[in-house]
Amino acid sequence: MLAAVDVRLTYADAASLVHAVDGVSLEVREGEFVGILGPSGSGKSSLLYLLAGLKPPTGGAVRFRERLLTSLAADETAALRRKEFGFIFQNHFLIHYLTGGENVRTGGDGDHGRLLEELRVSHCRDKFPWQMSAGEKQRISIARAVAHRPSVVFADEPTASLDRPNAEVVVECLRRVTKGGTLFVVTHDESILEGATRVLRMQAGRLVP
Amino acid sequence: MEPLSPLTYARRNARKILPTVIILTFVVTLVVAILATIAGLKDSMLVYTREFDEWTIAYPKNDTRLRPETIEAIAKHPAVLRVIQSRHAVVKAKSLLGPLPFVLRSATREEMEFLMARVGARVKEGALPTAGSSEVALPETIMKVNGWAIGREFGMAVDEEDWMPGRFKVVGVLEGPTPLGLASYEFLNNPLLYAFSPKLWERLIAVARPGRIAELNGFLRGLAEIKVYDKTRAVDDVSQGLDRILLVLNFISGTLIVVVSVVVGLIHNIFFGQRTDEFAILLAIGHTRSRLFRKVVAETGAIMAFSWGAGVALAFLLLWTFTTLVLAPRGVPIPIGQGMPVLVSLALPLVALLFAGVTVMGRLRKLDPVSIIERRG
Repeated sequence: MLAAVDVRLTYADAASLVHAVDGVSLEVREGEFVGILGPSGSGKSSLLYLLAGLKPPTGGAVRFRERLLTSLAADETAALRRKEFGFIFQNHFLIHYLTGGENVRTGGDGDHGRLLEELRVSHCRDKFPWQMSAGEKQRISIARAVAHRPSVVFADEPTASLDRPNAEVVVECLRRVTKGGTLFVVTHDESILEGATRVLRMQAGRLVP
Repeated sequence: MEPLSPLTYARRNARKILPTVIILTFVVTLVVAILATIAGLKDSMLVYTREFDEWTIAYPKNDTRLRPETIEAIAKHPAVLRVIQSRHAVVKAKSLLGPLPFVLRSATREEMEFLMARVGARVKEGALPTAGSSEVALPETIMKVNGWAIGREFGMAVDEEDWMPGRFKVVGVLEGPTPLGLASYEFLNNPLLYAFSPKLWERLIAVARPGRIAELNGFLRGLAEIKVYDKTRAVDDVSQGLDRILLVLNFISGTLIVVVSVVVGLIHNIFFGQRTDEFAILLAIGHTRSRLFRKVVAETGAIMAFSWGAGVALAFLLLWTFTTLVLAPRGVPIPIGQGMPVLVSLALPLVALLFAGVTVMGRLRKLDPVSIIERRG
């Protein structure tokens, strides 16, 4: 379903070339829950951005259902992300002047009411982000990510800014609403990867056994 | 309500957009009010040229009188309905730009009624001048600008600075779409009674047949021994001074439009910079750059349209108040519903929108959602 072939992401910093992702190949099947672990700076998030088409690789190729992401125009990649992918980031990135319900609607059409209930944030439908707790904001961002029923959900350290109880609720919600779909979770915290079909470890831009 | 609609943004960010709205509204008000006032003044003065839609004045070139054969030739022209021998007499009319001449048409009683019928004038108050008397009937606008009432006496015998020799008395007020002032031909044609001068400047009123004024003017211009005062000359006389003022004001308005547009565009750019997170996340979740660009243009356009509409409305309110309370009582009723100043002011939101659109397009093109997301962590 989603495959990376010798994918690389290299950029130049002030002193040298940085290989953020250095020749990663992997293939993920429909319905897999893939965890990506590794220390800070190991290239976990960069790999996620490459797989999701948020960044073009400097080498190699990413395919989604036989479509080569690197061959798509910017607007086509955006359209693909909008239809097939969902994103959850460490920061909720909710739009400050929209209510919880409206923020979810920016993710796409769907049964938002049921989704908010499922995530136990129906009471946040008419609240603005500044009126919500950190956990509520992150659950609203999950609702936004899955509102359009995407095929793949990418979560980049979704619990990093939350305390333990909130993190547990968010992880539980994430698993529930993405059940049956393909899920990538980048994290430092191995405990949230319980139930993962595969756990990848990264170091210095490479997958390590 | 659509979450990403311009209305949602405007309603929820009223305090942010208020400075732009205020600046734009006031500048539009200023531009419309100034241009409409000057253009309105011109229009209100052009009213005095309306009589030349019906007739043209012919007068001698190097003499005080027209030759009888010239008068006969004019009278016989097929475009001429009638010729009326008249004399030159000018009333000093106050105006916002200083004293201006208002020319009286001297005629016999029957000719007065003919001229009035031709331009749709009626006696509103008083009566027409009696034959052989120093009486005059003036249009109500001249009465208003001069602040006169029936019975008012004027002329050099009353005020040395007046432009009419002798003493005259206002006995009638005329109303109608075309301002018309009348005096007795029998009086003005008598040098001993009127000017104490053998020089009686003759003015021949050549009244055209309906729809044939252009043909008449063409014919009169071809006559070597006369000068012609027609609509074109009358309009030129009115326009010359005001067109120069309009040119200066158009330059000022143009500069104002460019400067304010750039300022508004820059303010918008700053606001856009404050919304980088919003656009980064929308890009990341699959909204295309072109869609986001349309969103920004729609939001900016809505703000510009609202400010422009408010500015035009405020300008008309101010103009209406100024005209009703200040100008109309002084006989200068400015027509406020003019298109030109409104069209000129339209450049303000359009240029601001263009400036904001181009700069935002550049910033959106360079926006990398990942770098924003990583920075905000």
